[in-house]
Amino acid sequence: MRRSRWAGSVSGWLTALLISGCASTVKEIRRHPQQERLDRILAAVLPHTSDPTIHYWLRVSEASSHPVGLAALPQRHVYLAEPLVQEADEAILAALVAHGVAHHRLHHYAQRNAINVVQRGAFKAGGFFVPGLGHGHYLGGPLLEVALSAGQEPQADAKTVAYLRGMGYAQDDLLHALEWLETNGYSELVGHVRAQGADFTNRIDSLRRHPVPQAHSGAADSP
Amino acid sequence: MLSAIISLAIAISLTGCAQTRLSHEPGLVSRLARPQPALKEPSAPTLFVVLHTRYLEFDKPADPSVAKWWSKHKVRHQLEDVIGEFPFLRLASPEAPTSPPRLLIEATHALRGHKTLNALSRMTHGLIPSSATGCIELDATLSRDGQPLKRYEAVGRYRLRRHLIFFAMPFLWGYKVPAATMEDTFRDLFLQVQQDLPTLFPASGGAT
Repeated sequence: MRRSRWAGSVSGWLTALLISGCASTVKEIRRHPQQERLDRILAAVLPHTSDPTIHYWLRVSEASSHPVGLAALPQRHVYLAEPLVQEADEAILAALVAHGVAHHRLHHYAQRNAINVVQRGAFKAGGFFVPGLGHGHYLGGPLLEVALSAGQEPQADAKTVAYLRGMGYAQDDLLHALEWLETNGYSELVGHVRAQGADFTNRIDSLRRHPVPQAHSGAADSP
Repeated sequence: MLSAIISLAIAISLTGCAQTRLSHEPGLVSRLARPQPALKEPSAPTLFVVLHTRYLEFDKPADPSVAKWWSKHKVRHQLEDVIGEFPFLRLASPEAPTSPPRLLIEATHALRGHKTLNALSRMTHGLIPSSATGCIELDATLSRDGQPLKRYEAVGRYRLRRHLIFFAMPFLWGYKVPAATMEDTFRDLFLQVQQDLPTLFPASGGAT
């Protein structure tokens, strides 16, 4: 009985890690030469958010074998991969920075965390009645994150377009940025969930078919 | 049987403290030789200090946790302690106007080391020993009217070792070392700023 519990726990962990994309790592580069340029771009994005005084940690991350182009991580971190910062033009960088900020302004990571905590509690409570159910969150957590992520990306895209318009860019600049990520094999990491390849294609198609209306306000910071 | 379970529970809950924090850097300014403020009010300009903090665990921003909360609280608390030694500094909120001279500090408290070994050590409550380095990295920008004038940095480090043997030696835990490191690093930074004030703000008569 005890052995089967351990086996269940370990297999749950492995599944969770597989689903959540454990290979995605981001390692920060301290004092990158392009940091001032990124700070300027961030300073241009912030006045179009509802609270420009909020601080974001925009940093450059090391190139890795599983390249994460853009990462929005806890404590308002936005990471951009080093090769991307070196090669991409100003409009692409502005779109990616605005997208990272949009995720934070919409509290996507916090929402996922809150729902995860509730779900974990529910599984633990269920474990009192159904043996083994307590480990369900190892599987349910990542699945829930993936499901939530699918709904959150379009919200963040719409918010990004609103910020970009405020900065004098257009929706097409976000599309170019997504295409650039897809073409160069980059992924986007929000919390533990990674978007890549087909995810970018779907979002590009969706934005082309349903452009964000001009009236969409970035400053409201509502979905 | 019950007493054994209770002692085991107490032992397990305490083993989190069974870690020692040893030497720290920069250690430039000891508590006994605190800097004498070189600039006296009102001749010195007042710099408004805005602090932003973060906590990294093994190169990743930490998820919401007690450790994260403690770190952020501690960094701010130590800044408030040190700022009193420098009369030209005033703590301000990020919403404060940017036109007066402002010192924006990005404070990073990072725990670095072997991630897997540290995780194993934590899971086994120190049975597998591990060590890590706590880093306090301060990046500051001095600006006026929103225009950056100069950038500063200061780094402090302390060692953290986790071993079951420290459970029996609470006098070695050194729980004040991280706070002392933070204070020293802030002092290091503010001394650099203090040195530059006469040249950066000559009109205000910032003579030493």
